[in-house]
Amino acid sequence: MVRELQFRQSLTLALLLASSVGTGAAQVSHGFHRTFAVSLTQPVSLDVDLVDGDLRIAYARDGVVDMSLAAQNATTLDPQSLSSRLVVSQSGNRLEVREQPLPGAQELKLTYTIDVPYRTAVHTSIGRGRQSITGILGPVNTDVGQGDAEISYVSLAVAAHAQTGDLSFEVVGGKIEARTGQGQIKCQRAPQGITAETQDGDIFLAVVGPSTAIVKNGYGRIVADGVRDTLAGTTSAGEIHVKAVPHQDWMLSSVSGTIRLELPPAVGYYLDAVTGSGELMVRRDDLDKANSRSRRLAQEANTGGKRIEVRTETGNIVID
Amino acid sequence: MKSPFKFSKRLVLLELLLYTSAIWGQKDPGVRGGIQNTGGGLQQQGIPIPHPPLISAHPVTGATVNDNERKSFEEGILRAGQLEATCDTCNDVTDGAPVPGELDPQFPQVHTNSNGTGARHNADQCFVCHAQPQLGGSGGFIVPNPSDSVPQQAENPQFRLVPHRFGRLNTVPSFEKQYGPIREVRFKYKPDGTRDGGVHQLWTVRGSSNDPTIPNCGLTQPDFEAQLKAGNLAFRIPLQMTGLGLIESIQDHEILAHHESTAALRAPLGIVGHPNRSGNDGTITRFGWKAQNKSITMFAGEAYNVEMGITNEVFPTATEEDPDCNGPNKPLPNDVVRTDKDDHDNKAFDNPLHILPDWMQFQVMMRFTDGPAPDPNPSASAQHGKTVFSEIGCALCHTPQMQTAPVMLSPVLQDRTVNLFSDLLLHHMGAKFADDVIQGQAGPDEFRTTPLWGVGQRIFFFHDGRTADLLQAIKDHFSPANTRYPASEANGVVHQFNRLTPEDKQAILDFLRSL
Repeated sequence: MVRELQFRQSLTLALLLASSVGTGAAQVSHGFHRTFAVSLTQPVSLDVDLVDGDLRIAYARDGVVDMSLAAQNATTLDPQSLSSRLVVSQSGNRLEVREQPLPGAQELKLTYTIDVPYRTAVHTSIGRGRQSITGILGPVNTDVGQGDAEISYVSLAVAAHAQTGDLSFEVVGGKIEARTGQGQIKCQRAPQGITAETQDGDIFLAVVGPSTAIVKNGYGRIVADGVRDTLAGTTSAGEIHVKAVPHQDWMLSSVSGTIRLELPPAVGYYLDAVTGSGELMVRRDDLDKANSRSRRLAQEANTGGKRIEVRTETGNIVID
Repeated sequence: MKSPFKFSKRLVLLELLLYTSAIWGQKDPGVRGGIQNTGGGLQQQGIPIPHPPLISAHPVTGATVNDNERKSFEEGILRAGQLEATCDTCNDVTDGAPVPGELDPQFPQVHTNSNGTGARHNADQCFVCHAQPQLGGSGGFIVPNPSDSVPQQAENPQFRLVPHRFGRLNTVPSFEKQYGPIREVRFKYKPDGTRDGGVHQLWTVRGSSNDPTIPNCGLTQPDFEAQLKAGNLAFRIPLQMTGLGLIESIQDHEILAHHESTAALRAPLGIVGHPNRSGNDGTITRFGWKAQNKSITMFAGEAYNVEMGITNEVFPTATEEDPDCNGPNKPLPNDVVRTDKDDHDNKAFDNPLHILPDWMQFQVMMRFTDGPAPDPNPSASAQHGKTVFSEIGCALCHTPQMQTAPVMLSPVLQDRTVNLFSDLLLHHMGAKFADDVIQGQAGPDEFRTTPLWGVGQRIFFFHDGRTADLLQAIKDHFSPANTRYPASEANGVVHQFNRLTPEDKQAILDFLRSL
C-alpha cells in the first residue's frame, strides 16, 4: 500500500518563480509549475480560495496534483508583489490553495491551472473570475462572486452558486444544485437531475433526471429537452418549452410567459392545463381540440399516463 | 547478407549448450509497484482502478489538449466504462444508477444511443479487458463482484464475471484460467481445411435475465475444447490502449528511416523485418499483434464489433444475426452517428443530443491517452540495463524512440518523441511463436515488434499470454527453423543475451520493468 504523505508544507511564489516553466499559452509571460505527490489509496481533497483570477481544475492523471499559475502582461508583472500572493499547503491528500490579495497587484490577470487525479473532491471560492472543473469524481462545491462556472464530467454531486454569472453543467452523475443571482444556467446529461434557480436568466436543460427550474423574475426562458423524470418549471415573463417523453409528472407554471409542450406522437399522458387570460392552443390529434377554446383542458390522451400540470396567469399554452 | 537460416543452425547448438549448462540466477522483478497496487489489485482493496492518463503537455512547446479534445477524452472514458446491454431499453441501463458488476460503481451511467452487446461477444465493457495497470491498459485481473460488501480476489474477468453476467449461460473454456490471461480465440482453419484466421467469440447472450426481448435465444458456443484438442486455436490477449495517438502520429518515412539506419547492424544478426501495409492505400499499418490495423479508428470499430458484438459505421453488420438473440429494439448498426429524425422509439424526445457514438468517442479517448510512464526513479541496475539492451541488439527491433509528424491537427501530438520501443514492423518469430494466422502481409509466424513502453506493469507477455515471467519471455524469443517456418529473427539477439553476465541479464530485466 502506498504510504500517505504526512507532511505539511507552505510554499510561496518567491520560491516557485525561480523554477518556473511556461504553460505553453502564447500570451502567458510568467508562471510557475509545481507537482504534489498524492496517494492512490484515498481521494484527494482540494480547497481553493481565490480573490481574483481564472481557475481551471481538470483530471490529468492519478497519483499527482500538478499546479501552475500564469500571469499575463509581462511588463506589468512585479515578481516581488506576486511572490506572497499564493499559499499552498498539503497534508496527506488534502491540499489548500489560498490567494492573499496584495496592494498594487490587482491589475494582473492570473490563471490558475490545477491538474488532479480522478478521485478528487473540490471546494472552491472565487471572488471574481471564471472557472472550469472537469473530469473528476467530486463532489464539487463552488461559490463565485462574479464570474462564470463550467462544470463537466463529474461523477458525484455538484453545488454551484454565483452572485453574478452563468453556470454550465455537462455530464454530472450526481444531483446538481445551481443558483445564480444574474445569469443563465445550462445543464445537459445529468441523470440525477438538477435544481436550477436564477433571479433573471434563461435555463436550458437537456437529458436530465428529476429536475426543478425556477426563474424568479424577468424574461428568462426555460427550455427542456429530453427530461427523463419529474420536472417542475416556474418562470415569470419568459417562455417555457418542454420537448420530452413524460416519464414522470411535470408541473409547469408562468406568470405571463407562453408554455409550450412538444410531446411524441403516441405517448400516453394526462394533461391539466389552465390559463387565466391567455390562449390554449392544441395542435395534436390525441386531445379534444374543441375543448381548447376554453381556458382549461383536463384530459387523458392515449389511455392516459403521467400527469402534466400547466398553469399560467396571462400567458398562452401550446400543445404540439 | 548471410542467410538467417544458416546462421540459426549454428545458434541452435549454442543455445542448447547454454540452456543445459547455465544457471539462471536472474529473476523478473515482477509488475512494477506490485500486482496488488495496480489494476484489479487496487479494486480488491476497495480502491477504484485509476483512470487512463491524459496526454501530458508537449515537453518542448508546452502545448496541451484543447477544451474539445479534453472533453472528448472524458467522454471516451465514460463510454468505455459503460457496461453495454443487449438493447437500448434493457433495464440494466438506468440513467444515473450504479450497475452491478461495474468496474467503478461511481461511474455515472449516462444514456447514450449505442447499446447493443452482440449475440456473440468476448466482453460487454471495454475496460473489463483493459485495466492493467489502469483503465485503458492491457489485460489484467478484475474483482468479479465489486458491488458486494466483501469483494473477492481479482481474477481473469473471462473466468466468471463476463460469461455469467446477467445470468448468461456460458461454459468457460479450459484455456480461460482463473488467474491466467484474458484470451480471445481465432480459428486457424475452417472445417473444410481452408484458412480461417477470424475471431470466434467466446460468449453468447443465451439466458440473459435482463433482456425480455430475447427469451428464445438458444445460441450455443463453438466447441472450443474440440478445437483446442485439434490444435486449431490461436490465442490473443488485449493490448494496452495507452499512447496509441502518439504511435498513430508517426509518419511512415520515420518508421522506414529508423529501419534503414540499422540495416548494417541487423544483417549479421539475421534480423530483417518489413511493414504490414494497407491493401487500400499501401501505407504502413501498425496496430494489433500483427500490425494489421491502419488506425485507432479502425482498431476501435473492429473492437466494438468483434469484442463486444456492437455494430458500427466501420463494421455495420453483425457477427451473429440470429433474430432470436437480437431483440426488436436493436436496430442495425447498433452504434452510429445519429442522424435520425424518426421518432418511432421516442429517441429524439428522450435524448435529442446527436452526440458521437460510443466507438468513435472511444477512439478519441485512445488518441489523447498518454503513453505509459516509466519509473521516474529507475535503479542503477535498470539504468545500466538500458545500455546493455541496446548493446546486445534488442533495440534493433525494439526501437527506443520515434518522432511524430512535424505538423499535426492537434499540437499536443506533433513533433514529439515517442518512447515506444518498437519498430512497428513485422518479424519472423519462428515455429515457437507461430499462430498460423495470416493478417494482411503478416505471415503465420510473423508478429509486430510489441512496443515495450508499459511492459514494466504488464502481467502477461506475447500475443497468447503464454508467460508472466519476463525472463522466460526473453528466452521464448528464440526459435530454431523447422520444415515449415524459418528461424526466429530474434535468435541472434537471444544468443547475445545468453552470453551476458548474470548482472547484465538482471539489469535488462530491471530496465524492462522500469518501462
